[in-house]
Amino acid sequence: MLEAPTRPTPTQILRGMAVPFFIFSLVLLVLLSLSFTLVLPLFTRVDVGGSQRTAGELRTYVGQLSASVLRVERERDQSILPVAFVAYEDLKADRLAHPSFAGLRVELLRTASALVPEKDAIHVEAVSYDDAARVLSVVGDVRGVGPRSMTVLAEYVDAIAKISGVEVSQPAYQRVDDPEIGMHSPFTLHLTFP
Amino acid sequence: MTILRQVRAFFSRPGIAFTGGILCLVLSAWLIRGHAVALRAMREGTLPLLSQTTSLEKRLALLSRQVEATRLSKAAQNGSLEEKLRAYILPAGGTDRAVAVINAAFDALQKAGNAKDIAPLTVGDPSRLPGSGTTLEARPLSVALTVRENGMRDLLAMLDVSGLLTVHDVLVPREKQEFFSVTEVENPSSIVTVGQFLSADLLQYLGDPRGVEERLLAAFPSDTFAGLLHHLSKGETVKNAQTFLAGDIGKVLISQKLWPMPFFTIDRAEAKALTDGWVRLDLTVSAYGRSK
Repeated sequence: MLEAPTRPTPTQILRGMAVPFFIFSLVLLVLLSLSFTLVLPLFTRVDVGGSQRTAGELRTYVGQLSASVLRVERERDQSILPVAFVAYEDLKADRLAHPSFAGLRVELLRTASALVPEKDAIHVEAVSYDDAARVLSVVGDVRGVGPRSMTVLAEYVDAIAKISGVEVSQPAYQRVDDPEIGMHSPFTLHLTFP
Repeated sequence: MTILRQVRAFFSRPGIAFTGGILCLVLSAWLIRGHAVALRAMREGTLPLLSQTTSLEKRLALLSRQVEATRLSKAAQNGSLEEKLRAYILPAGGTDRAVAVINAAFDALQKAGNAKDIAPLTVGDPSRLPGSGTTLEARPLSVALTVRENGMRDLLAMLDVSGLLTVHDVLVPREKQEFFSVTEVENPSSIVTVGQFLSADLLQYLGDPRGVEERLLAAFPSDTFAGLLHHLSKGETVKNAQTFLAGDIGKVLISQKLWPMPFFTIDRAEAKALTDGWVRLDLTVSAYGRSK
């Protein structure tokens, strides 16, 4: 009589699998290590500027290249200047960065006359500019528009505030009766430039 | 023999072999992830960088050629512009030319009936400005006069165009950049011609823009470049300068050889409306020069 084969216990199965499992894992690890060190660089390195570079090295190279382009561009822009006089270039750049008193005054008067159909309704009496403080002050009054004077003044302030890069102080809104010019709203505006 | 015995001992303990196998699998998983990261970096980072590298390398080579060309042309140039700058725009010490310009302007306005009640001109002490290489000084000049609206516009326009010498001086940085960009695209080797155009005398250009532009248009026959030049000649700065030179003050300054003018900036200004269209103008300007 043949003895019926006994079913292996889980411990026996694990014991039988341990060595093949270890060998399989070890071979997989060795193959992956070889692939990582020898095969992968063949696909992830690129030949740029005469040498092989990884992604990180390429990023550094592009950074250096961008810096060189900026430097040479500056050099080109400098070399094309008619006169190599840095202080003169600085003076011109500084003047360009400051607001033009003439241009601003014209703009203020043009805005005032375009806002309301009544002639000289927004009467600009004085315009002054202090370059050190970068403040332009406008003194005047809104007249000849009856009870709308304060509304017109608010519209004028809004219109001036649209001039690019300028901050306008809000004036005191009031209606004053004057024997010569009648009801009017005097104002003093301060325009500050950055 | 000892090694063989140790290997046999290792395999005879399945717990250790099992643990070693799991360790190897964990390391393998880490390496698989490393492969995936490297390949993704290649696809997402390297390929776009590669195309960027090519264009940057081309641009660097082009800019280097342009620098070399301008350097060679500079060596052949005479220093007449720099002499003009030093003699007329930023003279060393003194304010005689600045005072002469303001006096000529007042005379022109008075003759045209556009100015009256001119107060004496006062000249303050100079203050030194820390410059790059050259030390500049600014001397305050204060003036007060009653002017007509157009007389004031003329006088303030004079201050805005003072100190300008070449075409380059009426370009804002954005316009200069546009010029250079178009040059790079259309005809990089003609950068010297662009340099000559930018160095052209402003007075000559304002009188006849087409004459000065002709050579440049021959080197850059495209519509883009013609558009750029048209934009420049019709721009606000050029228009204002042309209007000023055609006005009372401009004509007098040219006839008295006071162009190019010294460099002025406005420190303080007040324009107060009087009756009958007159305006009282109080001005403090800085006239610049080189320290002696």
